[in-house]
Amino acid sequence: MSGADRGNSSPPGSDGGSRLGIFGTLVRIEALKTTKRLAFWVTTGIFAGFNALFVISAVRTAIRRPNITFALPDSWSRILEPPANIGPFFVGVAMILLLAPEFSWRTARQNVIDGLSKKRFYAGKIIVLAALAVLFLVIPVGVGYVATLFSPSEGGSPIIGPADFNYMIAYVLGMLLWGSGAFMLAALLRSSGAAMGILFVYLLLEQILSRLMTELSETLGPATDFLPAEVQSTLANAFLHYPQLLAQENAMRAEQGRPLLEFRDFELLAVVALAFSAAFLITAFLSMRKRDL
Amino acid sequence: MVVSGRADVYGEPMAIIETFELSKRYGTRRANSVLAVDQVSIAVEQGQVFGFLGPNGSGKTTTIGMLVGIINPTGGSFSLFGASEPRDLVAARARVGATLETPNFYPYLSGRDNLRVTAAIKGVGQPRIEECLELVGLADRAKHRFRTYSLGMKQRLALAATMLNDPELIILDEPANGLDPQGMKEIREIIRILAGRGKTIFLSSHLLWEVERTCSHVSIVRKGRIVATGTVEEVVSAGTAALLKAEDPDALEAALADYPGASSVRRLDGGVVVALDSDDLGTLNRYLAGLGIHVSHLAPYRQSLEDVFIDLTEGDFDSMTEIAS
Repeated sequence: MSGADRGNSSPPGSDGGSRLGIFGTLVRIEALKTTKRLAFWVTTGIFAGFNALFVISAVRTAIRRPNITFALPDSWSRILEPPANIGPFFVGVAMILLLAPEFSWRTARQNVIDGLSKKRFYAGKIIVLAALAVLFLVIPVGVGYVATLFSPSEGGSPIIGPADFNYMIAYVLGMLLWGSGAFMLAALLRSSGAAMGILFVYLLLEQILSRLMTELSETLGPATDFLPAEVQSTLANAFLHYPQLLAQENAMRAEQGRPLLEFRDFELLAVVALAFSAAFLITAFLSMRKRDL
Repeated sequence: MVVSGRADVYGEPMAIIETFELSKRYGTRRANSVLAVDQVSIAVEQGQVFGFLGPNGSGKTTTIGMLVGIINPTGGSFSLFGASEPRDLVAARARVGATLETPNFYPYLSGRDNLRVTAAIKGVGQPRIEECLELVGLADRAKHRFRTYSLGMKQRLALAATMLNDPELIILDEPANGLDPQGMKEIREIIRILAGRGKTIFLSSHLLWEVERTCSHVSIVRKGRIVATGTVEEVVSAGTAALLKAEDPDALEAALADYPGASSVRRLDGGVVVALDSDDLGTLNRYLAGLGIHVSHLAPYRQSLEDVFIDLTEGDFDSMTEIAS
């Protein structure tokens, strides 16, 4: 076979490939692996289905009770709140399903044998994580927007305001936090079942740990706000991003004599979420680099 | 044996694979650790068809795993195409086509899509995918999912993937596993064609007659260590053997087992083959006559690669027999 027969793309393993060329190759490889995977479509479909149910319910409410409006741009918070809570979980599951089997099928090993360095295999999966976060943001935004078209409530332009944008950033950070945690578990355990099991068990463990920390020490109590699931949960809370909603809620709570809601700064929580994500991804990378395939 | 192809600046044949005391130990605690590969030093030159032989668990796949970058060595070093630094090795591996143990592909993807993944990694275009599918006889089944393939078809797909980038070095680990005799013959033919094109082939197998027919050079590995290496002819003729026949083969075998110059004794076709430390058959004859055993046949015996292999790895098979019994 002559060189001309090989096609014109340079092997990603070679030094000759540009960064952009390598990125394009990794995107192509991961897109082929992912889009033909039934488990990926099932996960995405269930997530889209949940979103559809939430917004259909909102439209029905708007039809029955005209005082509860469902229209843009005021309803972004209602569109984003359900996915901000469940989306990160779906991204975690999808990430495990797209990474862990690469070890049990030994395709990660074969990819490296074929010329993809471990580093580039890892980079390919980071691209998958980023793509999942984008996809799982686009789905609720798209489904939500379409749903408002069927709502009787009157609205204006679907413009995304600063608070809505912050909420979206928080949602993406939550997805990255769960996705990178799932990435680490998949890379360490190399088994979908075990990784998902640990992910679920961790949720319970964090609640127990949080309670213990609060009960055992006054100084440890506030630290529970910075545990991974708690950070994601707070980031997903609409009250953190919409001061007028928080004010309404707290006014109601004041009337009822209940304690007022307080939140830490969004910026601080964002940094903590990013730090956790980075720590999880670095752990996964070190494990993949050190361990045999 | 013919060593063809490129030479380095000093006119010496270029070493495509070179290992220097390459070792791999599994486990960190010395007491519980396993030394899978123990100071293996081999050199495979351009154009060689190199057979890497050893019983199961002798360290063949681990050695290959280190060469292709999926297993981290714990000692020694190696080079591929002269490259030994991690960064250079990544580039060198782009010139290698390899398959290890069982074929590893995405079960939910078709044969063609699996090759697309490999082709993207290797930087190869669609026409070459179709060419390789034709070459291994999978063009008709290319659209079917990998999970529906028979083991023989999986092996063929692995071979197609290996050849996609027209590699200069082809590493095949048990390529005939699961193939019927016709399939094995085809694999042998493909290896011959590739060798004829000047490709360097590193073949790990336990099908010794296949290796003897196909390979120019061979290394035999036992418990992680190289116990014999050289051209097939050198390895086969390294030891002297004799075929003896007598009226009472049991007595003959027992006497030969006690002969100080015998390294191994085994029955063969009504006679007994003895591997000897020297080619002095006269002394052997006198020894037997002294025991009252008069042989009806005593002649030098040309050992096959299988004979040499079994002699060199005899202990391993004994232990397997013990386990089985």
